[in-house]
Amino acid sequence: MAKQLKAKTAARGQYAIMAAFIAVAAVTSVAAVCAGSVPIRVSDISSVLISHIFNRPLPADVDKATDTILWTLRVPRVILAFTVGASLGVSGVVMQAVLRNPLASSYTIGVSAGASLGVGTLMMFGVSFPILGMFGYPLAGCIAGIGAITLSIFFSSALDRNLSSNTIVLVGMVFSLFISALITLITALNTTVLQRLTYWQMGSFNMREWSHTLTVLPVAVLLTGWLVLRTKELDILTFGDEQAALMGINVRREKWLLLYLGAALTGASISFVGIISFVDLVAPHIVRRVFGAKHKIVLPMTAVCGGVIMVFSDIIARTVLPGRELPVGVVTALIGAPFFAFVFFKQRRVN
Amino acid sequence: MSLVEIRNVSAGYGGVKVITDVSLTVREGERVSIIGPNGCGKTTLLKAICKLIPLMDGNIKVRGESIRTIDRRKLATTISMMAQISEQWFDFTVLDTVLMGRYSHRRGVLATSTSADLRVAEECLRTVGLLDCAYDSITCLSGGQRQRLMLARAFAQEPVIIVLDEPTNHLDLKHQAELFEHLRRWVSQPGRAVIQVMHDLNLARMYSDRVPLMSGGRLIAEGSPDDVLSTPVLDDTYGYGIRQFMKKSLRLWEDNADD
Repeated sequence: MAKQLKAKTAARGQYAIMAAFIAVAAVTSVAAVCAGSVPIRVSDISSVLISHIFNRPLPADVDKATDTILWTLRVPRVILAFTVGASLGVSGVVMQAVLRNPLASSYTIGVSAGASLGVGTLMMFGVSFPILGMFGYPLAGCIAGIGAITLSIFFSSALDRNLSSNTIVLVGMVFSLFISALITLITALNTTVLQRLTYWQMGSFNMREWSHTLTVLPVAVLLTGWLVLRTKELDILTFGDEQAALMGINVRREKWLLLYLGAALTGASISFVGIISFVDLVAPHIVRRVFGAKHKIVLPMTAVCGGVIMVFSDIIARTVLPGRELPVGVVTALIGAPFFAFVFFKQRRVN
Repeated sequence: MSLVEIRNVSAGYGGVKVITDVSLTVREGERVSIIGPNGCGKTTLLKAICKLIPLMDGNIKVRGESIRTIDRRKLATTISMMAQISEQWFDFTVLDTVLMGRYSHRRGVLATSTSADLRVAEECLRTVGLLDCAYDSITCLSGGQRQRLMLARAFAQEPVIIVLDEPTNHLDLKHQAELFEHLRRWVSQPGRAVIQVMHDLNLARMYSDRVPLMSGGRLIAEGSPDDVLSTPVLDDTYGYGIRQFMKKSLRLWEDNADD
C-alpha cells in the first residue's frame, strides 16, 4: 500500500552538487596559488608540494624563486584564506539557526568587531604570550568573541525578547560603531599604529605565513568538528525555544554552547587577519538555497562555500590593481553588502 | 494508576502568578479536557506540566518522578505536547521534521535515524494523513497541514502522555473528528493518558473522560463531562448562558434532521 520511506541524508542529485562544490573549491584554490604578480604554472604546484611535504629534491625545471613564492607565500596564504572563510561561514550558520534569523551573523551582530578589538589591541601594544606563543592570538580572539556575543545578545534580548531582524541589525550596528570609535580612539592616542589598524579593520591576508596558518587551522578544525557533532540540536533549535524544549533539548545550555562555539570560531579565524565582512552571511544563504535546511549537510557545505568565497575574494584583492593589494575585507564588503540588502528587503516583503 | 499528579501548583510568567493552588490527578486511560474562559490559566497549566515554565509553588509528578528534577530528555520520552505552529523560514522536509521527534530516543552524538525511527515516523505521518507529503518542504504547507505535522511529531516521540493545546485550531471538521477518534484508540492502550485544553464544549463532552473547569487561575470544578457541563457553575464561570446556547444549537440540528 504505502511507499517505503527512506531517511535520505541528501537526495541523489545533491551528492552531485556536493561534488561540484568541492571541485570548485579545488579549482579556486589552484587558481589562487597560480594567480599573482609572478605567474606560476599549475604543473609546478605539485612538484613543489611533493618536494616539501615528502622531503624530496626539487625537480630541475622548477626554479628556486618559484619554489620560495609558492611554498612560503602563496600556499600558506590560500590555506589560511580558505580556513578563515570556512570558519566564518560555519559561524554564520550557527548564528542564523540559533537566533532563528536570516540576517544574524558574527559580522552583523557585532561579534567580529568585538573580537577584532580584543585581538587588535593586544597586537598593537605588542603583548606577547608566555607558554601559549602564537596560539595566544586565536585564544584571545575566542575569548573576545565570546565576550562580544554575550554583550550583544544581552542588549538585544533586553530590547526585544523575540530578537527580530530589526533589533539584531540595529544592536549590531550600534555595537560595531561603538567599537570602531574605540579603535579610532586607540589610533588617536597612538598614531604610529594608524595604518596597521586601518588595514586591520578591513581585513587582509597580506604577509601571512605558515606560522599563522598552522596556528589558526587546528583551532578552526577543532571548533568546526565540535559543531558538526551538534547539527541535530541546530536543526531542532530552528523551531524555537518552546518546541526544542518539548523535544528534549536543554535549550538555555545548548543555545549558549552553540553561540559561544560560533563566536569563538569567528574570534579565532579573524585573529590574524582582521575583520572580514559578510562571508558569514552570504555563504550560509547560498548553501541553504541549494541544499535545504538540514544542518548535517548545510554546515560542512557552508565551510566549503565560505572557503571558496574567501579564496576567490583574495584573488581579486591581490590581482585587480597591478602591483598593489586591496584589503580583502573591501572585496567581500563590495560583494556582500548588496547581498545583505537583498536578503533584508526580501524578508521584509515576506513579513 | 495515576500518571500525572499535580499538587497545589502555582505558576506564571515573570514572577506573576497565573495559576494558583491547582491540584489534579490524571490516571491511566483517561482523557482529561481542561475547559474555562479565556485567560483562566489552561495553557499555563499545560506548560507547567511540560516543564516549559518553572513552578512557583507545589509539585508535579509524572509517573512518580518530580518534574523539577527530571532530565528534559527523559521527560520528552514520557510526555509530548503538540506545539503551536511557529514561524519557520528554514525549509526542512515533512519527514525530517517528524524525525526530530525521535531526538529524545537517540543515544550518542553520532546517532542517526534508524529504520525503527523511520517506521515510527511513517506510522505517525499516515495517522495524520501527511504521508504523501513526506518529502515536501514544511514552508509550503497550509495551516491545517502544519497543525497535523506538529501532531505527527508529538506522536513520534512515542510518549505515554500526550498534551494538546486546542488541537482543533486550523483543522476542518473531518480532521477534528479523525484526530479525536485516533486519540480514543490511542489512549485505550495500557499506561496512556491525554491531557487537552478545549474550547469547543461539544467536543469536550464527546471526547473526554473527565472535565476540570478553571476560572481565574484556579480549578473550580472537576468530574465527568455530564456532571461538569450541566452545572450552573458553567454559566457563571463563562459569564454566559452556555447551556442554553448549546441546547438552542442542538434544536436547530434536530429540526433540520432528515434521517
